Amino acid sequence: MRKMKWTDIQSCRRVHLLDMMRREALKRLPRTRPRDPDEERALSQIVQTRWERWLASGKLVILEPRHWRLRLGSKSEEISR
Amino acid sequence: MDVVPEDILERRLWVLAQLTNRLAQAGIRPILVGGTAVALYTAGSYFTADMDIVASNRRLAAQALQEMGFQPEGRHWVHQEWDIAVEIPDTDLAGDPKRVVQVELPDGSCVYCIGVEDLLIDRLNAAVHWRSLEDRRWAKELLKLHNRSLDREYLWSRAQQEGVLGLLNELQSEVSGTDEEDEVD
Repeated sequence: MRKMKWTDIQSCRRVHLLDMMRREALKRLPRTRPRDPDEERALSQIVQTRWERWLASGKLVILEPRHWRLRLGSKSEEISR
Repeated sequence: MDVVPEDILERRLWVLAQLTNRLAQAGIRPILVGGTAVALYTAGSYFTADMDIVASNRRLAAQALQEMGFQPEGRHWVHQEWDIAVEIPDTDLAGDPKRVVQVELPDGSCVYCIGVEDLLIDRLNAAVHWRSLEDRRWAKELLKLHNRSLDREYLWSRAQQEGVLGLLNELQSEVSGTDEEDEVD
């Protein structure tokens, strides 16, 4: 199996994205092909579970309907600004 | 030195909070719209390549982005190190400013995001006019997750104005059906 470094993959992706931006091609392409109903149900379940996890863990607190508090708690890296 | 969030949604919100802070001095409130707003309302489930914001003064917003290290690339502003692309597609919010959600971040800063009702209208429009099934699916997810907190009167009235009432009713019926199935289970 061919081995690739994660940083190389990221770098390729970045070059591709920049190229798309230069060509002004970075717009959503509407998907018109229907998904399999089971796939759609599974994806929907994942969305629901993620949302419930955000609320249950306190990552997202809904203080008022239009006033939320969000904890940024993923792994972080130090980068100089 | 700052701690830059690794997660792409968190990093975008972190950057938007800095922009919001800079533009506050000029009385400008940038508002998150588009795919990143869908990502926020779905706990990061949606992925999009760029972050769309609406700012009433595009020139000042662009200047602030430049001061933060963003470079222009076509319609976008790109920050190479943070791996973030920002677009300012409009100066006016396609929706009601009173329905915007304020999201506080841990350092006391905050970002503003288009109201979920107006975001739903945006996805419904894309689903109807572009025949985009993905937009239909994400409209349904938004409706399902936020069904109880929506301003229904406002949403249904806007849907009627925009000519997407039929699809909204269809999705509401599907969502209600799913809820009933969940209750039976």
